Amino acid sequence: MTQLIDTFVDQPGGELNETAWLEAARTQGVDRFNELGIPTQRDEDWKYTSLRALANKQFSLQSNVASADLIPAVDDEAMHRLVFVQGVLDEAASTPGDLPEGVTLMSMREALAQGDALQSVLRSAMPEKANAFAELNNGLFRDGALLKVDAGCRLEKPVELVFISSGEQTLCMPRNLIILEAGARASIIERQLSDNESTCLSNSATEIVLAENSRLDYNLIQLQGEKSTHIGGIWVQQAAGSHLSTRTMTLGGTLVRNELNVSLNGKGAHADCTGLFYGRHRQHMDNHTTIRHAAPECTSRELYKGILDDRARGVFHGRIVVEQDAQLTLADQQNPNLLLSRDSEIDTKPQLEIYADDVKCSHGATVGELDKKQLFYMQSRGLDMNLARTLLTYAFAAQVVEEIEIDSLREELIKRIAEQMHLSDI
Amino acid sequence: MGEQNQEIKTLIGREYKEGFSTDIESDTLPPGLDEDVVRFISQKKNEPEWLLEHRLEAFERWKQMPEPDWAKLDIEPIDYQAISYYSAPKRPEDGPKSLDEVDPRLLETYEKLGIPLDEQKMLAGVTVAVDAVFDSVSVATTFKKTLAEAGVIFSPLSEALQEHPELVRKYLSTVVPSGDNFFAALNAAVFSEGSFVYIPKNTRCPMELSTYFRINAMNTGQFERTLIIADEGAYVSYLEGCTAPQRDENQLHAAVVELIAMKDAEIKYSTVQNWYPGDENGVGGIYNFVTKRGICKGDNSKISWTQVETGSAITWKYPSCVLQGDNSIGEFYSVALTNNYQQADTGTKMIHLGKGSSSTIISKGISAGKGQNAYRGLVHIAKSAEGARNYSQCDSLLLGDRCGAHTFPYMEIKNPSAKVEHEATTSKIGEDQLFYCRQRGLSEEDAVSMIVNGFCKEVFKELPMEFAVEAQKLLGISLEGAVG
Repeated sequence: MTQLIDTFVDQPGGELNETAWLEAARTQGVDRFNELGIPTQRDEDWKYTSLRALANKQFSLQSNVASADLIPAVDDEAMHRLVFVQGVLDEAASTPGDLPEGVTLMSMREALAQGDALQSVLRSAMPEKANAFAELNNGLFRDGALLKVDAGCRLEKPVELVFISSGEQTLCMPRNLIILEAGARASIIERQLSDNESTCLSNSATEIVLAENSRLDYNLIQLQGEKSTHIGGIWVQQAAGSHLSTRTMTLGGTLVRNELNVSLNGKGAHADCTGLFYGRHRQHMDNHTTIRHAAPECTSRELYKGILDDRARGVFHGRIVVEQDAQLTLADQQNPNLLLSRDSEIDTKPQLEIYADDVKCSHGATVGELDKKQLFYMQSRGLDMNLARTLLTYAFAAQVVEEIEIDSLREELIKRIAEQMHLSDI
Repeated sequence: MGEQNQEIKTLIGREYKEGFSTDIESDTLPPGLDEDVVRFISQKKNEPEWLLEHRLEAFERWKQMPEPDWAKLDIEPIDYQAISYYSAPKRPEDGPKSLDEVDPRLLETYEKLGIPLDEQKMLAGVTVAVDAVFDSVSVATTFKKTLAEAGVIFSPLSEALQEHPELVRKYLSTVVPSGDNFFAALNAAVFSEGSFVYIPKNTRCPMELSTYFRINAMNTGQFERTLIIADEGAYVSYLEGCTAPQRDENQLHAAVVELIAMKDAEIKYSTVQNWYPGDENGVGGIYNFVTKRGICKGDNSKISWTQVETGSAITWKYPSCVLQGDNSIGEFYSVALTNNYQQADTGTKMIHLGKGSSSTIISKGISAGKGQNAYRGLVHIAKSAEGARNYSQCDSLLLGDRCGAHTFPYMEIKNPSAKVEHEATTSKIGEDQLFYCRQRGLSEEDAVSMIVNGFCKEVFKELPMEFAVEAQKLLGISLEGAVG
């Protein structure tokens, strides 16, 4: 019988010469992917995102070299940078720089070759039964980044992980593992890039383990070309007192699905997850988040803002689960959306699932166009309609972008968004 | 809080007050469901051929449908062959013409419930016609004359089928098609009785219409079918109240309600539901799987659903509005309370198709004991719904640390001029709120009562006056003590 994996991926096999446990884990991943199949819209988690475009295609794992001009020209000294082409480390393009003591940053392939140290941590943040794409990644990932910060150590400069995909119907599957030991601190930029003509599918999986009182700032910047598909999952396990902030900025791609799963397992952990999705043309952007409060006194905040223009479609699914023992939880979730054109669409599902009584949880979602009164006011102050609209839209987006802590990244995105809105032309 | 918790605990432990069953001989079918049962019901009701075909078609569809499992409910598997699909009190041919002729034991039942027909008439000076459905066949219909003078048709569905077949045929199953969902299909196949209301053009129904449903014979699921049509410019307010005697086996209730509002018409549909919720160990109780939907067909029409759900072991109910007419209005006000092992998955769907259509959703969920309470709602703004407006607010109150409150709103917006807002909060009664009330001289219990009633106020004020009283009473009984 032909398995899904054989029709979906060209030559999934290949000599890897890996250890027995990893081979077993890969086989299990592939088996589960075959079993689960590509999700359809009958699957509640995929109700508003159709993967029909992927279903009958075959993707190739063959790596080819991407054009170097995709690599962002930022000061090499400012960041520890690893560049991955088709999911595999490109050493020549990478500039990890000097790492402080207690910090390990290397390619996953290298780390796995060094021995069995990863056996107990790989897959530890993901649930036992993950979704089809996570399982596909489990089965077929080739490389990715491993960052480990030892207890009490602090990375001053951000780590930038650049993932470049290119080519026609190529499949790239980076697998990242980030471990922060007690009291450690780091900030990371994940940058998803592809050239404008690439019809690649990037399927990334990132596992993050945060020990007591550690602090991670994670920035996911989606800037792929408008023919590329990205399905990415992040799984975070947080211990007591740890602090996570995520900034998910989706500007590129034709179909983008960002999954974020955060589990607050220790007392007093905090997750602060914000995002912006700005869709134009026929882009489809889906943000799927789950924040699980499994311990008392944890707090979480979510703010995802959507701007949809032309025929773009946005999806937001935000789920907050408060387990029975998670008393004194404070959780807030907001999803405001702006529809700029008649053909744009937003589907939003903010969900609360609460099993503890001494909690304060709220969520809100709004959808609308620009406020006519505000537009009128600005016009009465001498701004033309077009500029007034753009300024208001920009201001709507800026609220989230301004929360990015890395100065250079924040400035770059503000500039990019202003450009996309043609603010400078007006 | 300790003292108050104790109080809540003792009162939560109270038995269902309205549990009793009246011993009336029923003409009941043996358990089981096949084509013959469908034919039997149709024949028993002396139905026209088209309706039988409609039933059989629905039955065929139902057989092929899977039972829905998406709701956040833990449902014991239902054996549809173990249910009896028809039960009617004896002597249906010589039905009573007035209250005097009604079986005295039936009247006694109502009296025990505190809702005797006589009292209904006099309550607050409002005249209320009660078409009491005792099990499946209507046994008392009052005020028919007054209504007839206004041209209003208010009768059991079976009677309407005989007297106004063309009206029934025109509208039946147009809002909830027989293949709509598993339970609607089951209802379409085996519905035994229900109410039919038609308000002619430019008529304000002279009184509030009301039907009291009861489930009485053991193991007979009730499959009610209600059809209400408000023609152009008409207005009607319809009340539905439910109580059921105490039973140990789960009883299935799969009703269908269809509302149709023409141009400038308004329908207000209020429900107080207090079926047996099962005992404190989660044994027994009614399964309430209801499909309710209204359509605002004409411009400027309005449909308003108000519900107070305190009973049933499991509630699966989503009264919805299809806002087809321009500037049509849909409203949904709900208080759902779950205590002990009760589960509720309830909410609404607002489908905006018409220009300038607006909808309001106010949902209040109260969870106590081990109750699980979920709000599930959809706001859909179609591309055609220029300038549509929705406001949704879902608040949950948790009393106790073993219960759950969940919110699953869906918003699908395809028109940029739409304004959609959704807000939800979950909390328990604040210590500061209690403290404030206490320092103003209120006892702890009164304070809790006041806060819970205040929590539900936005919904209660939408109920007709006589219902609001009952609703508050029910809330008190169901919450046992926390409300005083």
